[in-house]
Amino acid sequence: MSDLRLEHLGKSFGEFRAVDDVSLSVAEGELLVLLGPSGCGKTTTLRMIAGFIEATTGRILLGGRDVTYLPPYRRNTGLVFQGYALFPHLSVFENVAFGLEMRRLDRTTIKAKVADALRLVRLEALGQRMPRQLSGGQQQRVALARALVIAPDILLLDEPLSNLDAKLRQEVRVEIRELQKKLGLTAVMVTHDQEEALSMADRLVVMNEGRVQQIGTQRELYNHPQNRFVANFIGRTNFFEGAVTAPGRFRSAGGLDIAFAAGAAERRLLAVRPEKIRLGREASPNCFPGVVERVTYLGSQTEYQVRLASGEAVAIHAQNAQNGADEPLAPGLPVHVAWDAESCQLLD
Amino acid sequence: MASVVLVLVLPLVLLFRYSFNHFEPGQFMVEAATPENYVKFFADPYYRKVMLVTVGVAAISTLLCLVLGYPAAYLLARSKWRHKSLLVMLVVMPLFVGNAVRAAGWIVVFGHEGFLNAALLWLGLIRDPLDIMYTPLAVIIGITGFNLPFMVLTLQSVIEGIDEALEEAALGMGAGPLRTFRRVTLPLSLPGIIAGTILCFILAMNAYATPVLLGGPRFQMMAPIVYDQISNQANWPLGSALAFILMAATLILTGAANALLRRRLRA
Repeated sequence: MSDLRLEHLGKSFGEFRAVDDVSLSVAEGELLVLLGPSGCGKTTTLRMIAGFIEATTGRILLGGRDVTYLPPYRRNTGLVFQGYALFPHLSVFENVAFGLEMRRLDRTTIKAKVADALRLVRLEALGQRMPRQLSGGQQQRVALARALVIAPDILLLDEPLSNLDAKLRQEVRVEIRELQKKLGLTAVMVTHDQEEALSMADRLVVMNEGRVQQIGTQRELYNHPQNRFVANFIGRTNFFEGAVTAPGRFRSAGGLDIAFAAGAAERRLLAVRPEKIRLGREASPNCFPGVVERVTYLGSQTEYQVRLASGEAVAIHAQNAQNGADEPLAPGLPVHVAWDAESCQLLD
Repeated sequence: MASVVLVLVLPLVLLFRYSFNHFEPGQFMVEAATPENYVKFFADPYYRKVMLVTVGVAAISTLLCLVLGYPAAYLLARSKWRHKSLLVMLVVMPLFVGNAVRAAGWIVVFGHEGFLNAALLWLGLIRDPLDIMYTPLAVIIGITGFNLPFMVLTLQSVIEGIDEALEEAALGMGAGPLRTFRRVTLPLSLPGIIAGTILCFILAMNAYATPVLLGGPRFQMMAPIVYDQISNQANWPLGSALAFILMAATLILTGAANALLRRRLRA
């Protein structure tokens, strides 16, 4: 296992910059998730690490070794593809043995290593099956075994769960994460699924339009997003356009005078998470009148959309009572909403 | 359905029946149930040689089609060019022209005063014009050229169906381009190789216009002599028998090659 460093990595297709000046590092044994909408450059970045796309600018260092211009077959990476890419003409055993044969190991060693890898993913009994005879989850595990058996310097996962149904996805998610931790694998995973990213990553990289928007842990991204894109992409949030008028005071476009705890004076955007907003009149500095516009029951929570007197709308997530007996507020009802100065995030 | 069967099967049934009739010069065809026409084929070294030449030409041209067609088909299948359909059109284009016309084109190229000789002489590569016309080489080139589009199109459609991620997976596991081809792409193109080979081989075995026009009067292949027996010699029984022998040989050889290829590439 090795650490990975990307230095000012870029890829242009003609005029189009698919990946623009991406710098990041993945520590040994860390799982880093590249997260972003489709077309954000996350897959191109992963494919550059794997060697299928040549970088236009920058460097890729794997375990301190510059691999930027090495072909994929000289990089020692373990790849798990979106559709698994199992060889349909080879048995499970032969699929897993493939990388070892390319390394010209002897028959006995190959047998032992393949058996170990299959045991690791609990498929030791299915070595003689053909891929088409396996379920989606099993195929996914074969793909994982095949990537791990060659003892790669880094494990690269390209949307590994997107072909599985929702229930299986949960299971496999946990399984991949546990295996990665147990074996101390350095890994980079690409996904557009926020929940998948949050549940598996040590750290996340949020990308948009080819650029890194923010790198951090789940908590950092959720509680301290650096810009509108990150705040909007990780979880939901309410935005107020406006400007800082005095230290700790933000005036929204609709005329709300909002108190905030921390943030730079030149910021033009204030965000408040829906679950940080309370319904009811209180003595908080941020307490504003409004009217309930829409009520959506979400099971554990109820989402209210409230139109404030300023004309701005906010979404509020209220926890439902444990006994499920509480009556939701009806649309059209005048209410007050309130939140703490500490709940405000100032963004670019 | 019945009419399809009628159109496809009836001529064969008639031909099969005729092949056991007796040929009496001057009397056209005498009803009989004699194997003499088949015996004649196996007893006469002339016919055996024609069959051997036919099989040889068909085998060589099919192999050439495969060797030349595979890289073209691969590039075509993997091309991400916006105007890829133009390339496909280019491959299909020759099929719009009948093979007699195309053979005429080859005559222009191969002739003593033809384009090829003129070009080679001009380049100073040869001092005397080459005699390509009316040689087996001309026939092989002509048949290969005629069959190549079928091979390319068959292979292309199969290669397009091979997920590129499979090749990438192999590369990622440390297989170089050659080994990736040998272990992944080639075995997965096998259905296309088999289909294309069979198609080209059958077409070559039964080639008529190309051997007649490019091979000249002294070069003999099976289809032309079948025609010669039936049309010129009026010997329908022998012509029918030769036709059936040609069909049987084609079937047996295709079957054998099919089995051999499958075994070879599976290993």
